Amino acid sequence: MHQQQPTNTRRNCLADLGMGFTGLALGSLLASDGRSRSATAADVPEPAARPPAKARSVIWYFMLGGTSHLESFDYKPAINRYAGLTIDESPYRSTVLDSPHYRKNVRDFAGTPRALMAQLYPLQIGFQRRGQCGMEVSDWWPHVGSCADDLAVVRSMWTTDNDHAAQLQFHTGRHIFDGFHPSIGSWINYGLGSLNSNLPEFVVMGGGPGDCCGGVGAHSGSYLGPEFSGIPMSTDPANPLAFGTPGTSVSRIERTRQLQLLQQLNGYAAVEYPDDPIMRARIQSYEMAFRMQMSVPEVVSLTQETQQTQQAYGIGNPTTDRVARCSLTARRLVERGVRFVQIYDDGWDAHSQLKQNHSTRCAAVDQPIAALLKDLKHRGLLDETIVVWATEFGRTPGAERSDGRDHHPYGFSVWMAGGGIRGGIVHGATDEIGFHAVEDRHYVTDLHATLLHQLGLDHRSLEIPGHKRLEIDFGSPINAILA
Amino acid sequence: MPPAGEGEHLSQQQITVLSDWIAAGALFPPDEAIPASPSEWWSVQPVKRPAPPATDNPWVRNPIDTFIAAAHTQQQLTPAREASPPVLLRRLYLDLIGIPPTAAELNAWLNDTSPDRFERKVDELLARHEYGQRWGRHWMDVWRYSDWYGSRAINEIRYSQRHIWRWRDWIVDSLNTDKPYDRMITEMLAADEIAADDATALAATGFLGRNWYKFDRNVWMFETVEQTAQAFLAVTLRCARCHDHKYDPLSQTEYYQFRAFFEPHDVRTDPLSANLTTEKDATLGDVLKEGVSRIYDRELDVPTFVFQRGDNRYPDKDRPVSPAVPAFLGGSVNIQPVQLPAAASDPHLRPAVRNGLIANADRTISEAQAALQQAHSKQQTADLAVAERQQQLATQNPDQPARQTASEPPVPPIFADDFHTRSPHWKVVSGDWTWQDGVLQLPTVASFATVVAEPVLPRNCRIKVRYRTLQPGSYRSVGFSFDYLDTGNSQDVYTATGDASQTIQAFHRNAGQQHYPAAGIVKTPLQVGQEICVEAIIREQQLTLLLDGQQKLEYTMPLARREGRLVLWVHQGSAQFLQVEVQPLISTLADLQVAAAQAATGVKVATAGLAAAEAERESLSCRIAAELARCGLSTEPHQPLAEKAARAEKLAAIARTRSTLASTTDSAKVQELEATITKLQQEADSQGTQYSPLGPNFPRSSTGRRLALARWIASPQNPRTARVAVNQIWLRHFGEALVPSVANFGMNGARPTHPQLLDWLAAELIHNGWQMKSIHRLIVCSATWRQASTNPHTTTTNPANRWLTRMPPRRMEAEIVRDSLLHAAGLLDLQPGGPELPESDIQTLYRRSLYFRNTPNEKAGLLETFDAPNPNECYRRQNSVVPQQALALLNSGLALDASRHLAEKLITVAQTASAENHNLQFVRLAFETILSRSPTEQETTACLQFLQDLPTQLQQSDLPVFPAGTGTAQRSPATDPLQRARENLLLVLFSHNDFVTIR
Repeated sequence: MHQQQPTNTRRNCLADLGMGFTGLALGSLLASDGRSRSATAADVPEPAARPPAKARSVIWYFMLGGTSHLESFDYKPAINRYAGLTIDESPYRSTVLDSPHYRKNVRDFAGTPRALMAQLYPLQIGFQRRGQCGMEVSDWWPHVGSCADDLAVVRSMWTTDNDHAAQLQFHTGRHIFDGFHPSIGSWINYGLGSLNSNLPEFVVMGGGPGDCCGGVGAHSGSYLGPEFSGIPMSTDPANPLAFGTPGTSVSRIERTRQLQLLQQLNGYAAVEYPDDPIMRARIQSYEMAFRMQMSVPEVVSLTQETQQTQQAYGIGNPTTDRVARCSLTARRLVERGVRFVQIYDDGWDAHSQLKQNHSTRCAAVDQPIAALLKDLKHRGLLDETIVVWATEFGRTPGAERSDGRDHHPYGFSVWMAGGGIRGGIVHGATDEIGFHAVEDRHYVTDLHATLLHQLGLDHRSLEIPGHKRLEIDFGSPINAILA
Repeated sequence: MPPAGEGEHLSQQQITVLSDWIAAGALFPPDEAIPASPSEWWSVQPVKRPAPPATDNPWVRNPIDTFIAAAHTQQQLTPAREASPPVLLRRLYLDLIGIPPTAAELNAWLNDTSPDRFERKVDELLARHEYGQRWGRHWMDVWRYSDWYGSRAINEIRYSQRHIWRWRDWIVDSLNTDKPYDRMITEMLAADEIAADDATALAATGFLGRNWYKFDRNVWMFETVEQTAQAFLAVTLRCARCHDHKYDPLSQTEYYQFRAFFEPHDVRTDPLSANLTTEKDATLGDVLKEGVSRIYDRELDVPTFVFQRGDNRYPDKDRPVSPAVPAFLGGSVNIQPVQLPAAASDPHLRPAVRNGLIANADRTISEAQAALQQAHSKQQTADLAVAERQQQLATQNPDQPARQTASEPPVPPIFADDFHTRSPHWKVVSGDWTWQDGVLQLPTVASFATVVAEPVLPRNCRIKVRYRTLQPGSYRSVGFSFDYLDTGNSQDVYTATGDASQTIQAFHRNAGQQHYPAAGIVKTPLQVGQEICVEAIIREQQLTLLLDGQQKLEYTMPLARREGRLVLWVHQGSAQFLQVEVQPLISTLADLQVAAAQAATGVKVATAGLAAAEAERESLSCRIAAELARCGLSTEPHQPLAEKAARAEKLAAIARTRSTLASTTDSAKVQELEATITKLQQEADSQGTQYSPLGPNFPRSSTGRRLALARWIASPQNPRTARVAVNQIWLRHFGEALVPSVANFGMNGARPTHPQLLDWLAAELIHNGWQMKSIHRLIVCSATWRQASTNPHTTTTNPANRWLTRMPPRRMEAEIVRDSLLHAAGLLDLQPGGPELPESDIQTLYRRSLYFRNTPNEKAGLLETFDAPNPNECYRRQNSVVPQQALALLNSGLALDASRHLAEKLITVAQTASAENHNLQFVRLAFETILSRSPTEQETTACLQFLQDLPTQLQQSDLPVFPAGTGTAQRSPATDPLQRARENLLLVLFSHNDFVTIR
């Protein structure tokens, strides 16, 4: 698609898009020349200020429900020491309640703050130092732990929603009360465009957030337009894409002939309307659709991988199979130039029976995620692919009911690996019982800014007219974890 | 300033740059244009009707063209030729009613030689109800229509309103009746203050109700304030939520003054009729199942505060603000409190509701009367039967006892089936029942798979069922019901062959509830696969159960017998039924006496029931009379009527209790009920005045704030309202607006491309009494609109078409793609109105697309692919071109079904038309039906070639097909390869650029 409009400056193009002109997927148009959107236009203000690209793709794991930071990447022995005491009775009363952050940022539904889970609940799993770097990772994450030297763990994340709409917030940077905004994957898709011509640029796998929690908003383009939304893909080779197959009542020869006739007829009409660029774009989109229809089944056809690879991810093992398929498909997608692959795993909301819940969930995701990291590294892809592991918030140091933990937005952990991120480091810290992020605090958009920076985009110049972004929307790259 | 601990400090270098600039005198660049004074900005000037430029240009058809032609002359541009008649007609249909012309309509019009055929067609289309559906969807975009959403699984609403579809229907109807736009605005903002007793008008306040947000009143209010300003006035008020507007002369205080208009308002649902049935909302509790969602002022003097930095946690309580309109738009408001009619304060007193309640009460009385009559005749019959039997016995030879025991000679069965053939007596209620090899089988596990036998059972009978329980399932419950009225009302007998325990059991279902009395459960060993025979001997309330001839249970049925049918059922299991036999039993004298006693009780119960119904009616009419007096709807004094109502209500309660008492046998319960009656009687005699109102009461007055605001907005003096409206209309006729920033007429918005034309149209709208159809007529009849969509003269001189030297081709909106596809195939159901349809049915239900659920969380995938409107904000549609659209058109079940359906239809026509080449005729018809034009020679050749080649290719065996996926096509392709090729051709035409394009 080379519908260049040389007279249009970048601003004008974007203004047109904002006013609903035509989403000719400008990113793709420009990027198919091998240039990113920002690099193309004549009037980008400070080309020198744009960071050089360190990575070209992102694989984004997101644990829906809230993974306990305390039982994964943020070891707090003090909790065990004072287990059974209330926070009041422990030495940390002031640390928790007198903190300038306590209840300050949190915006609750219907204005009723969640109760403080007062009684400290002992850690439900042990920790070990892993890798050369010796970072502490819990025993529920042995496989990911074995990749410790590639991980940059950020232990000082915070957010402002104390309910599961924090899922939406993690992806858009705004509380659900502020409405829907473009998701991080959409910004990247918008900012960079495609690296391939037969696959969607932003793919989503696994069931996303529920309606309560932002729904498809967590991977939607919002005001950037639907062409920048994540496209749900299933790993079922028979049906990987919505409308991806007409079903068995259509033979392939028919489809080929249909396309031929269609392009022939459209071609006749195009002669009659030489000043209709949208028509030419549509003709091309049909070719792209045809290619997608043919290439997507190939991508999800995991039988092309060796038995060894399949086993390494955990395909065939009922515990890991689902996430393993998503993970291996993710590798195949970034290999083929897909920019952003979002993988959801649901069910982490351990209000009770945390031990049972987290041990099961970790068993489902640990091996596949680690296998992906190793596979990418082995193939030399980890240098240009950022893998993110995140969740909407952590869980309380105090017990909920007798054996669970409640939502915890004040301090929690995420990690990143690859794509120019330093490995084997721990950045930021929570207080001694993992309550507040106290050192190098990072709001969720700092993570977004870090990704954009590594992908060679100036996170502050991604704006479109008519949609004012707030300071908090931009975030700042977490420089300390950059190689 | 970011809060302490957040954000980063300015770098030393940044500080130096700033300091140096200030030190140098803070100079601005010399070439920086000084913006005009805000008061000179075009969109705050009053609308004056400019005189259309004088012209003798023959191209000009009406005043619109004079403005356009003037710009053409100035820019030295030539307009495009007029579009060809077929293109023009298709454009007109899609523009005005959102569906293409049928081939018959097309040909009739092309053959019409009258000079005014175009204008007559315009009037015809504007008069069709599809016009309201088409333009209703446009205004639903602007006014942010959203169906309600929340957690649907637990029926919890979190956003918008139930019954909001009534607002959608109001929009459609208002457009169809050409309701003036100023009136529409007033009804949407304040119907409760001007038309409180008009439920149809009240639905208009859905404009406000759709903002309702369960979790945060402030979110709801922010949306209300900002979107009202944007939709009607193109004012970006949102910018002033936290600080003064950066571009427009609009202060933060004015934002909150605007909010003050809405501060007192809230939502509620009023009944529309006497149907007061409720459903359970997970958090709101019982809510009306049918009603109208509407706005009202709940708290009349609630203050409004400015939120510091827009943060609702920091209201400036020292500085309450009063309602006022933004000063820069001129004008002022005159707020007068509104006295409301009783229909508003007491919605249950509306004639439709109260008369309906009386009618319901009267119907209950008639039913009770009929029941009593029936009870009497039952009693007579029962008494007569006893008397006859006694007389028989008396006249019999005492040495020869009469037949009065169960061991009587066999009576022929009234119903028997060994399932050798499928008997028409059986009707499947649910489940995959099959008749084969002499068994009735339920092969797949289901929940209460049920099959019913036609004959009504005799009261006393013996039912014998032979069957075999099979392996699949968990409970493996297999059995039958008698006295079956429906799946929620029956007496039941079954065996459960679970792995852990097995039972034979009796239970009953009443009013949808299943009851399993312990006395009905008998443990007995049973095996899967074993053939068993269960026999039920039913005499009045007595039930005897036999398993393979062995008596297992002697049981008194707690639920009174009812007249009903026999059903077989299987629950969480599968089974084969081998034989069923129903044999009537001859009643003994004892049976007859039991029946007579029951009939006597029946009379007592029915008598008490009638008394209760009458008392209820009396209570209702007394309460209505008292309420009417209280609300000033009758001249009678309230006090005595209140006393009468209080007493009548107690008497009704007594009558109800007596009715319960009549059917109660348990002595403790009897005592309790009698005590209740004594207490109620004392209360009735106490001359109180407390009675239950018919429903909740609401304030008798409203602040009048929203009405004042509406009048200011919908005023000819308002510089924005008419301009914004005609600009939106223009956008939807041309795909481009005269002011491209349709929702921002502020100083950072765009300027009009044709300011004079915009003002002339705005003045015209006002002049025509704000009626929109006249504007549509003007636009589509203009030479400007009638241009072709290509213009070889201006490709380089007017590439972006700013000067309208051609009609910009547009892709159809999502709804129009689907509606047109279905309509062309002859499948579209144009039926208007009604509750929203599930978005998941978008491919299988053929109603127009605007009737399917669309919420921020729930969108029909098919429509979403084509940029379905975002209900949160859609002042203009996105218009993307993405590959998924191609996939949707080529692969969706909807498109496949439509092509296959239409191919069948068209070939029938093609074959009857003439003796010429059927394929040629088919191709012509296909083009006319789908693209509304004839094929060119090239196209015909290509299509005929396709129809010639593809059938041969299709005849090859073992054609590789696509994976099954979740393809939703309901029709199979034709078996004839040629017909199948024709179906393919239609699918291609539906994917043609010219199908989805409004040219």
